[in-house]
Amino acid sequence: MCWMGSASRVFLMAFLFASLPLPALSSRLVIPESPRGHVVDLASIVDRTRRERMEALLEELKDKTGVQMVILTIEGLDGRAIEEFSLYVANDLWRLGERGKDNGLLLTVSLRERVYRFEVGYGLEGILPDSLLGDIGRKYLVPYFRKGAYSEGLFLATLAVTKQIASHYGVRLRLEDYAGPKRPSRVLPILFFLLVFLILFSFFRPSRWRGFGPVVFLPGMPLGSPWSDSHFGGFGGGGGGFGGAGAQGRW
Amino acid sequence: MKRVVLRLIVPLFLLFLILLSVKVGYDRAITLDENVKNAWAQLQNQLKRRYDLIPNLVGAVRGYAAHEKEIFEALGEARTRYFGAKDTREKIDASREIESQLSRLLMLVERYPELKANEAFLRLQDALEGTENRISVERKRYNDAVRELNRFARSFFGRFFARLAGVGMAPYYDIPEAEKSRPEVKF
Repeated sequence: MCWMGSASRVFLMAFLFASLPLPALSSRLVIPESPRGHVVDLASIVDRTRRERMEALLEELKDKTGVQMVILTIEGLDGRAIEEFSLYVANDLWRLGERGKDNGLLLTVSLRERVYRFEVGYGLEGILPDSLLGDIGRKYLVPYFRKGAYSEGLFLATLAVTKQIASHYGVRLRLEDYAGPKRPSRVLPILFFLLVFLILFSFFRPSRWRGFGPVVFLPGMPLGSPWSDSHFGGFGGGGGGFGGAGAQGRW
Repeated sequence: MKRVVLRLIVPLFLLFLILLSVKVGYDRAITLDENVKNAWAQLQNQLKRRYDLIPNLVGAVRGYAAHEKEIFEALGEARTRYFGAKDTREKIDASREIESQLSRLLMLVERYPELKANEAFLRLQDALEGTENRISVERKRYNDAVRELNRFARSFFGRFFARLAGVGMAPYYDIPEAEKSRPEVKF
């Protein structure tokens, strides 16, 4: 009786484990309803320094020119064509760019298919011709991606694209100046603990201090830090139209 | 007194309802027709873009494959036919012909690795790919607009309103077989 019980329990456990879906196999592509930042790294291929740098650069671009560029990395397209997927995200889901100006730009990278695509809003077609984006992809994305240096490739391509847009609008982007990889700073871990402390503090602060939000300010990322309050909520352009312009390639 | 008011108001109210529904139906027919016309204009812009690119493309390929005269001639002919076409139907037919010749031309390119590696040709290919993609986007939007109009123009009441507004059904831009077999995108 006792033996029977344990055997059936073992059997039941084995059955339960077998029926549990493996996370890797059942992972479905879930795209957030709004981008919440300029770098949506769902495939986790962009290192932190580079991501913050790109966030800041793209935020500055948006401030000075109104152009809303987002970089989206995903693990796989699950059988969809990248043209359809990227148009859907840019035009229907996120509606990048401002209404009437259609100045949105989406760079999608899918790891499994080793394919990327620039999706260009109507308003940017004259500034970023397909052949220019094709060149940028072949020059920066393909060679770096082949070496597995995703962050580097994305960063250089972003620099090239923002430079082109900025020169067309006749503005200078401060952040274009430093192109090489920044060495990790020793201040960062301290700042991180400070940040954690501030967040914890904001949860447990006495009620009479309410109104003083946790002011998180990290030097070195003055613009577009993913934690800054202005970033959440106020991000979406939410009105831009796309007509299938852009360029794509494989690596 | 009460009966007179009732006799006057009820028919007037009914007349008002009828006029209102006629107005709504008429406006809907006009709107749907305008949507199709807009979508067609957008599609034509992109098609024109494609036909402006073709001479460059032919020029680039000709340097490597001068003996493939047949394709170049067929392309040129279809292009002339497109610009000479009088109505939407004829334009769509000429475009379909160009599409099949273009895919033959691009297959041809596969046989010339030096051509494929040429930087100027790569840019030309970007431009063509981009144009084709724009066309497929605008084509889908056009077909969606046509579907909506035709559904309305065939419906029980819509038929009447469409005739009243002088709006007819519009032709679909048939999707090439290769694209039909593509799995449908669902999110």
